[in-house]
Amino acid sequence: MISNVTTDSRTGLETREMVLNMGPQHPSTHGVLRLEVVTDGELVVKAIPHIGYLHRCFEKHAEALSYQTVIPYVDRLDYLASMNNDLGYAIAVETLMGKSEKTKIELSDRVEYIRVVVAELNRIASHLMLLGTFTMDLGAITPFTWLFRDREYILDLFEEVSGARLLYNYIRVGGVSYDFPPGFEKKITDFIDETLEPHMAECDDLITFNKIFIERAADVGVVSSEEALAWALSGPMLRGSGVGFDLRKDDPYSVYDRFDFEVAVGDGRYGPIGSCWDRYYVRRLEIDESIKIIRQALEQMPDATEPDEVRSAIPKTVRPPEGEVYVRTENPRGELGFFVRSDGSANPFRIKGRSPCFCNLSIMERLSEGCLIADLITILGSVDIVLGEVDR
Amino acid sequence: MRALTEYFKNIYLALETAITGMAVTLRHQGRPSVTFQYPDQPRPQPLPPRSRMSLFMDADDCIACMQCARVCPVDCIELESNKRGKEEEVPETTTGHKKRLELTLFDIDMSLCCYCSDCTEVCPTHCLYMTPEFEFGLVNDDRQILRETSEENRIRMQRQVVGPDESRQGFIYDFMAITKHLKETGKGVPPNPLPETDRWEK
Amino acid sequence: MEALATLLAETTGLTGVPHIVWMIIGGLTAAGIATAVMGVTPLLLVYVERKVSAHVQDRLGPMRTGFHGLLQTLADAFKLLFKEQIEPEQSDKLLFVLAPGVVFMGAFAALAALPLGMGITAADLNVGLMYILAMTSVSVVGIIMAGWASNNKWSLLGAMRSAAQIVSYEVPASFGVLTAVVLAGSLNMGEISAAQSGGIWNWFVFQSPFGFLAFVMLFIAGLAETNRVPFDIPEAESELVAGYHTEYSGMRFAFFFMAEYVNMLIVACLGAVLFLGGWNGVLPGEPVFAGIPWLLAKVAVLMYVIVWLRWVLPRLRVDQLMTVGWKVLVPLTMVTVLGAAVQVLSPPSTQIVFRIVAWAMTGVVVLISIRAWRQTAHVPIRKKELASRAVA
Repeated sequence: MISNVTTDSRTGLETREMVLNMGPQHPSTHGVLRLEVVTDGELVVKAIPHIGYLHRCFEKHAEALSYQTVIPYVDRLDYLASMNNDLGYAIAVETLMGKSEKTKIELSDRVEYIRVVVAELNRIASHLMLLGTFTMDLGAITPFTWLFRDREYILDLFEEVSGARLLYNYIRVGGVSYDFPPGFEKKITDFIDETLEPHMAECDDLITFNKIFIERAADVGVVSSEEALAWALSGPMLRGSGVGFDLRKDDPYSVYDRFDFEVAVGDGRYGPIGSCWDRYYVRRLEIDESIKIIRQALEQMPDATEPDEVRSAIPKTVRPPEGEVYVRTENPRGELGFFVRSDGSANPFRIKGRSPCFCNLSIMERLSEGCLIADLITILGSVDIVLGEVDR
Repeated sequence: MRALTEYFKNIYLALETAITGMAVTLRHQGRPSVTFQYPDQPRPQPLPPRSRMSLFMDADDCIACMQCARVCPVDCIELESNKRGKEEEVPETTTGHKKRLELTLFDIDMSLCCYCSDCTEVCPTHCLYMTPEFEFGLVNDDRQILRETSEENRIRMQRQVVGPDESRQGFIYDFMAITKHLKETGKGVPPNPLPETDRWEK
Repeated sequence: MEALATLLAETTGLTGVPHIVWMIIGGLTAAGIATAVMGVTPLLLVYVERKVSAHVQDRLGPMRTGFHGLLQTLADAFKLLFKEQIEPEQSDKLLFVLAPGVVFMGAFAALAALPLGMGITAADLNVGLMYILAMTSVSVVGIIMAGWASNNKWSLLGAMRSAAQIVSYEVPASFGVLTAVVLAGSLNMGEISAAQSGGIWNWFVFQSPFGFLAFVMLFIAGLAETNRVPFDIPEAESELVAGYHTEYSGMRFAFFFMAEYVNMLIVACLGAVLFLGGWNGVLPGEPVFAGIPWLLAKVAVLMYVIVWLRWVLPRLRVDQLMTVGWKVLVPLTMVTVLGAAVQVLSPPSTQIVFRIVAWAMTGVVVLISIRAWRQTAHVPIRKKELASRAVA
């Protein structure tokens, strides 16, 4: 990449733009992302993302596995929100199986509510991670440690229910792998009442409305709503620009239509709508909404009618009829879609994951024109990428 | 005039939010710490029984059905067995299954294992299970880190055991040798921590 | 130094020794004390910083080396002594080696004019303040040398930013200092301290509203001078890895480190001597032990606040930093200088009005702090419960 050389007409001095490499290893490019940055002093002329460092051929691998054994691979796509990935894939395969009467799967209500509770808990954990790392990129190190501590509580809860802390292999095609252990519902509500809500209030005091933080984030990386729709953004990136589109409300899956919650939308109270601060605040509000959903789900959840109810609908072999289906769910980062095509055998013919971060990252080059290097870090942090998903 | 009030309002807000932040951090300074000094202080609460920290297999209970090898997403289980002769006695496992095949090789390459526990779910005799044991550092009883380890220590700590094919170095656990060693030396196999209600019944 | 010389002469009781000998011995002793301060302060400050950061983040900090980690910095110092000093191949060798020395020298030389107590100064210059400001500005040259000689684009960026920042904030720092000079009528640190004797109501922060404002602004400008948060853009870890001292290792890095902490000490000392009464105590009368404990206590409080602020605020972007420096601090400090001049020239009967306004400003700040404290009372913490919840 040859940078431009400009000659100053008066003095005859040649200046050249600098090409910096924020390489695959960098403290703040959340994963192995390479950003080739062409700068004119402190001003960024262009920032080109290079991806592919974490490509693991998930889609090709899946063609050799059976449908249930794809689940550990799907976990590892967006490793910070494993439950949501599992949920999306499981719903896709179940929808495909529902196309023929022989293979139709009837899920009990308890299974659906368990899935919603763990998916929303994982959404909270993922957003806590984003709030922590975003503020750390801006220089405030304390919220990172506090929010990660709260995330540890959630991971401990997940360890009790599924056995693992980060990659759960929990939501299966046709059910979930374990029922809640006794006393688990109370642990969740205790955690939310006594730990999560006070700590989120403290986080608001410390950083969300801090003037310096607002100055850093509220004028930067502005995406207008038309642009957001044109670039196929989804999730908090889209909602931060003022477009109130949430798949849980507009295209509900599982039992999300039984809950009463708001869709958090950026309102541009500190700057233009669609800035980094709006996206940060949307994610902060989404934690509150997820808490509402979890409370309602735990109240509405029916008790288990038979001992192994959550596993009873899991088929012995998953053999969907011939056909294809595309199912989209709301990942913490946006619209996660799974396209599954089956040819009637026990292995999928083709699985494609529509990754929200991949599409959200495409706007990076446009947003980075004309900003300062410090702003580049802010914008990258607010896009909230997870390279496992971008590269699959 | 409006610009002037904006100017002073910004200054006031900056100072006020800084003071609020200072108040929050001051509150945290008086609180007890949420971390504890491992390994001097042990973990306050044990890991839950479903925790998937290490994989163990009791080779005496295996009926060589190959379900685990078939379901593994990463193909890390290697299983070989022999048919028994017609007149041989057919032993039984502790769960009442008949061991029609004789197990000759059961190796799991732990460097490939992704700890998904799919294999433990399909095992009919529940001889393959995951335990919450995670402290695998090569230390002796005095917590000194061992540099040279004897074969016994290796088997005891389930570390690098060379399988029958020496070219396959790596974390290959030869579970038949491990089970035999543990039972012979009286140390006993780690018990299956999952309660009966959580186990997958086929 | 006069006082030290006469002290030595009297205690030893040797007559016939020319006065110049006592002066030289006194000077060397004072220089030795300054070196000791230079070496010990970073040791203490690094430990304090790590412990304060740990307690703010709900963790323990250094605990293993020595009792509660007291020997941690000694261990770090030993490690740095024995580490290999790597030089990049294409670097400018002479500048690379000289840069840490220049930075260190700037901080070290300024220690000479700082008072330790009543009459105890290594060099009681008539223009002590100007000398201190001049010597701290020498560090800028060293920083630019370090950034250029490292042959690293990131280091160069950091050095440029740092140079711009330090030079810009010299102006409000000088004006803030000038306010105290105007109020006291002398550039001599000792006389400025003496002008604040007679009890806490005579300290310049409480004697004059312009003194109060100038103290706050000198504190902020001092933070910017020493590259501390929220002005630590040159060392922004998440953007430039380590800024201008990325390529330094071993003892050379230790020099940069020590220079930063001694600069913090100088800023705290300036604030304490110029506005908080220097070595004077709270009650009127002669301070005990020549006021050394009082001065050390004030300096300790200010340094604690500087360390504390690091974990509270995110960092400012470069252009916002410049805005704050030139558009906010410079006009306001000019106002304080003029106001101090007006106050000094007013008749003595009107002085009480100024004092009342200063106390009113202090009251407003105290009220804001109390309101902030009450507003952040979210989590009712009982000690045992938190300890048992350490692993949920």
